[in-house]
Amino acid sequence: MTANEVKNRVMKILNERLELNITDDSKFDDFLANVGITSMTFIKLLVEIETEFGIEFETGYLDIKKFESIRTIISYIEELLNR
Amino acid sequence: MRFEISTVKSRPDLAEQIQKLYAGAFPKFMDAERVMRTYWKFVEEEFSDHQILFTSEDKVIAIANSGAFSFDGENTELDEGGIYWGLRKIANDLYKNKKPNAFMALQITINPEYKGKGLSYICVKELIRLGKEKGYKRLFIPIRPSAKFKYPLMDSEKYFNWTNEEGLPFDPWIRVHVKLGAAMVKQCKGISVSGTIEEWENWTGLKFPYSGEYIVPGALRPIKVDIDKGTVEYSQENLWLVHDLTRDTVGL
Repeated sequence: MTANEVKNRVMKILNERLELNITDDSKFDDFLANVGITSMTFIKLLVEIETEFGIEFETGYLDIKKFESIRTIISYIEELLNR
Repeated sequence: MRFEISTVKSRPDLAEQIQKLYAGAFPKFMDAERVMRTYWKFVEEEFSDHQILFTSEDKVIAIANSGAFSFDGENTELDEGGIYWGLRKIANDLYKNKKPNAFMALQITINPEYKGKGLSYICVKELIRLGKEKGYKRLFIPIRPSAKFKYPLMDSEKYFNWTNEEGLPFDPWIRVHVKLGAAMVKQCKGISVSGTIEEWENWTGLKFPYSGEYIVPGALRPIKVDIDKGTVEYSQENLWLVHDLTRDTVGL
């Protein structure tokens, strides 16, 4: 899967499932809280990402503090997909 | 003892007391546990009627937290991931609209001033009552053995199987559940905490000058210090207990 495909799929989750209205990647480096991802939405995001990509976050990554921004989440997804 | 039962969400006026009780219930290093912390708000909000609050004249005396999921396997098929597996499953099943048929206790916290008054039995019975009301078939508990910290060097499996003169589990919390009909199933993973050596020294008030294992107050087994990496790792071993809610429970 290309980096662009991962990005687009994550964007789709953020907009359609989490209703966050993130239309481009200009907010990808913002802190999660600043784009509306709270501890509540983070859990839903985890579930949606794992389902969409068929991956499983490692236990140590079931932690909102591990991710500063949407970009760091995308990087971790890519890391899991490339293993 | 007279007490009232409500939910954490229904008593925002007691939020400060509740936080104080949680904060004082465990050793300081447990504050750095991350997975339960990440899921906590989600469970509290999505399963607000599962967060049982026990009060006596507006004083918080105990809290029993739980969340629900669907599980059709045999008890022995419960995942060795324990509480972290359960939290993940609670979230997955909820967001995939899978109807729960069971629930998992996350934590029972008793105000130290009210220990020795049978509250442990009352809390477990209330959880069982809640589960029966909801139509759940089983209550799963990935239990953190409450007195294991006094025996940090003892093998967990041996500790879980250790019985008193009455043939009941030595561990007080495991004993409460077994007396109320729970089955002891198998060992599973508990929470884990990672940190720097400096953080662990602050949390414990101890010094860790060399790599190796150290016993620290409140830990169920030794922590592992790695001087080269500058890190400390700690993980607990829990035990899966299961209450069959289709059967009668003593005192209910």
